[in-house]
Amino acid sequence: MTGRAFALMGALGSTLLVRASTLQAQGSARVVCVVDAATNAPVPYARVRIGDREVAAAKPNGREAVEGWCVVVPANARGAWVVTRIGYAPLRTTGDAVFSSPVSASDATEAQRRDTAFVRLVPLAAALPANVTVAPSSVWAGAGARNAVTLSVDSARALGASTTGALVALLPYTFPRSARGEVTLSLRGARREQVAVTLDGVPLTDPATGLADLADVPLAALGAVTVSPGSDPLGAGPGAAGGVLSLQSGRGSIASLRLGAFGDVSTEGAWSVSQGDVHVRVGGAYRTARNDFPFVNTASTTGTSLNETRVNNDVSRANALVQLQAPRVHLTLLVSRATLGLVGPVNVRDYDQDRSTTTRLFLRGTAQAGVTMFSASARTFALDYGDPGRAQFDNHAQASVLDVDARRTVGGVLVHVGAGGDRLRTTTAVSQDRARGFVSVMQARSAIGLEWTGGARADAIGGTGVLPSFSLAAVRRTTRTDVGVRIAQAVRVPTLYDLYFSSPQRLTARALRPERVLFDGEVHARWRTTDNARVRLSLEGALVQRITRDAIIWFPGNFGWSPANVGTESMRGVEAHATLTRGPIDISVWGTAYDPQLTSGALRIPTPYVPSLAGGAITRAQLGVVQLAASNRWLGPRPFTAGPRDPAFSLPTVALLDLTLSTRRTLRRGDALLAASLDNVTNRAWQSVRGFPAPGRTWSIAITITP
Amino acid sequence: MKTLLRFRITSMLAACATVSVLSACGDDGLSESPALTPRSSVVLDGFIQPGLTLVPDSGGSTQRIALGAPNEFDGGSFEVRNDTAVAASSRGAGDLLYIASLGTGAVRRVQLPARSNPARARLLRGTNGQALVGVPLRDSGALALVSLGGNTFTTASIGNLGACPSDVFQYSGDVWVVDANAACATDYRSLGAMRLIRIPSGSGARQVIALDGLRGSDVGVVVVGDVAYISAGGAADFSSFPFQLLAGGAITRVDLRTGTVLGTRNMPASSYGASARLGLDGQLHVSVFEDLDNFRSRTISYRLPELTPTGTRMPSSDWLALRNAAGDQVSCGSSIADGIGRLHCIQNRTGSATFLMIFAPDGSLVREVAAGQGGVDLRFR
Repeated sequence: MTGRAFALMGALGSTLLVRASTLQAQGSARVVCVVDAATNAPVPYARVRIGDREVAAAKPNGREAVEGWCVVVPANARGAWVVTRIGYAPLRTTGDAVFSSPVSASDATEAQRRDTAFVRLVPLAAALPANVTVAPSSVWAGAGARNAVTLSVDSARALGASTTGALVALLPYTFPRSARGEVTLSLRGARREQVAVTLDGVPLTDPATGLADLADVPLAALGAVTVSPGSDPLGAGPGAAGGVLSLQSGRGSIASLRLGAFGDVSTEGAWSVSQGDVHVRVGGAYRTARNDFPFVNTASTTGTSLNETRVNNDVSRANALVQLQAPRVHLTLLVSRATLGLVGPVNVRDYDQDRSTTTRLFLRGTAQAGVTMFSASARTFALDYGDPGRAQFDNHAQASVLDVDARRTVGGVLVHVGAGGDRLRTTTAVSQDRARGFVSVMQARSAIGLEWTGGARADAIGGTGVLPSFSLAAVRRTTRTDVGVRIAQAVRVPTLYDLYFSSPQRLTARALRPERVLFDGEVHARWRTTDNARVRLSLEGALVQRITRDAIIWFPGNFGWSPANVGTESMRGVEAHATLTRGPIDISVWGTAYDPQLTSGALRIPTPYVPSLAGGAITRAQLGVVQLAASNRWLGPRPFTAGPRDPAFSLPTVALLDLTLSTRRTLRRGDALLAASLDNVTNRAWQSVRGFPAPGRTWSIAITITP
Repeated sequence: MKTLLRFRITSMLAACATVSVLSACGDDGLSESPALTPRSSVVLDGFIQPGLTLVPDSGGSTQRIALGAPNEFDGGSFEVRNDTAVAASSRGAGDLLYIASLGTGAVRRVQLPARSNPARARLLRGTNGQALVGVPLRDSGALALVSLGGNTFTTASIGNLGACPSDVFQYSGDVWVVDANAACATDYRSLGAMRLIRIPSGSGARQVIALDGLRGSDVGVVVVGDVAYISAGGAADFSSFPFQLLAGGAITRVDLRTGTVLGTRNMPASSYGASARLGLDGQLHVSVFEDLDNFRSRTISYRLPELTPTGTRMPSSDWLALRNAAGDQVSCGSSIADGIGRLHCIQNRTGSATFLMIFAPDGSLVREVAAGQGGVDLRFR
């Protein structure tokens, strides 16, 4: 370990102890969770040593597992703290404990109110002060420079989620949608291609389409998910104009079986083994479903509602996962293969036989040498499309991505450089290649009572020239409040698909310019009650605005059928989130109001599928050994075309309610989570994508065993 | 077969009772207006928010009629007669027939056979004067005849109409269908010369007329007097770049009395497409793409019956010389002229915003008005 790193550790440790001394003893267990100081995202696989003792994940009270990126601190732990994790500056404290009062492990009724300390690791020696704070809710990861919220996979399973898509639907501020088995999402009034999805920091976005399909990521591979609305040019690079959904790898062993309506059978498992400082995790998942649910066709030509059944809507997905964590090397391999029926819109029978098979591969390796971290990643996405009745339409497409990058601190500034390439090949004679490179610098420091984080980035992608972007954030923190402001600029380059239809090789010689976010800003504030309050309440809100020039939008209606740089997109909005915990009751409520609009000549076009008003709530009540969870989601009218606002072209308001009963049982080794869910309890007929009905009331039961 | 066919048509016409949406046709007796200028121009918005945009010629406010969701409408053409407009969506958009009343804004959708791949819809007339809608079903090799009665409709069909029946008209009581002779069930490649099929209303054998000069899958028919002007868009290979023009667009004249081909007018070399509309000036106005490189829309006006290029043209060209106020050339499509020689056409701009442009006989722009979004066809009301 270098002298610089130790010096930084000392500074961080001092801050940690100052914050820790303010903690008040509340509950039965002491848990330390590790998060990224810059993004507030959970950091799994951190190694925590207290004295000569390594602290591992465990159940603090024998009944409830901690989050995947947290560890339980034994009551008798004494000695210096050392928190290490590849890619982050080591953190060392000289105190004998972070907490100021002893652990009361036998108080089972306080399970929901345990004290949780957050250790904020700084990415590779960036000069951001470490911080420790107390979370009033398990779905809140503490204050940060962004209006971000994290949900652990373990919590999501107890809420009834068994897929990554279902997990994301539980997060505030998210607008996932699905038509033919895929799951994509919108954040902060953005189009879905303006949202970046990352796995352990690596973008999963397909360069051909600009989308990442969450359905291909098994829940067993994940430990937590963080939603961060707003542009993030430094953390996720180009494409993160509307926000970032950060997926974090999971850890430990797990086995899960879920049975649901319409032939839904899902199994997944992961097995983890350690040998010294080397941890290996191997897992897999398989899911199949007929999805032949009944629905009410309210758009039939008869003028009356018809009861119909979805056809050619089945899905079969298989996933494999291999993870290796050594002190200086991390490797992740994720492979998925899905076969699904490509059901068409209601009233369209042309797709009743169409099938597709998608194959994805994600491989990432990270190594640390001194204070420099090197990463390399490779991704491929292959699509086979077939129509048994018309072989002429069969085709195959494969997009591949290769990236390498390095980051280290130079003079207190985190420098990040990288290069990569995108490649697309299809059986319809499409051949595209594109090289990329970037450099970014980021620094964080405290000044005039504020925590500042800022940086700049320059990307060069294909023939687009140099694309600069920046982000600057300032936060003022007190014991119970955080007030911050953040501004940024960002870019989104045309996808290969966009270029395919707009470049000279196709119909019209029309060059597309990168889409530029001229201004992305937010002012956010958080307030929370004292840690020893009987009713623990947190409130947070943000005023947001985004202005985008040269928005790349596909407007059909001309022979070119090309995407084009069209006008200026503007968005103003408000986001609010509140959590309340009182005794066994835990409530999380959120709401958004957005006004996203494209202005092009005389046209005023609201962003498709973004509701002006939306909200949701998750209510959890611990009733003895059973937890009852209710998940509400309310979506206002959503336009479904890229045309002027018109009620005839909007999906109606919908309110959805999901209920889940769950309980944890201690096994001889490990524990079992049993969950039974009723989704869409009120049996509402609704669509997330126009023409593609969602199921009505459905049931599922799941058991998840964590050794 | 003849008896069966006669029975089907007779049954269909007998079933054509009072029709709510089609009442305009019946009320008006399908009379042709002698007006020199249209009451309004009607733009078919084929994409994004499918519908009809009515732009009064008097300069009044624009009206709009929504047809349906974009994944349930993909029609590229429509027909307007008096207060009724008809259009159809293909198999990829639900095999639907749309019938709209321009007077009331009412829209009815009729489900045609699944995966039948309807082509353009046409307003026909029964032997008793009642209204029918004829829709060629490209993948079924058939013609659907739809009549509406109150809230119900009945459909009959005539089969064995070739590889890809794509347009239909009536003449002298008989039904005539143009078979594009293309692989419309798959990739729309041309399989050979198009054919005109005459289906007698009474007894008699079908007559098949070879249209040797016509290739492609896009067909349109304009009947003037005893002559049918059948336009074909031509054939091209779009599967690889650069695109390859296999056959250019052309218009063939057919004497319907004798069933003989009078001649064929080819569109200019290297051009693609031939979308023809009969103007109120009695001339045929044809929109074509200048080439397969930039797909610039051009208009040629033909004097009938010889199909002689006319109008104010660009030097050494058949293209009409259309200019904006700055004197720059204007590219627009779906052209049609009124009775005083003004050419109306539509142009899709950024965001697929559609504009109706009206040019004086000398080609100068005299009016421009926003006309919806995603415009694909233009007709007069």
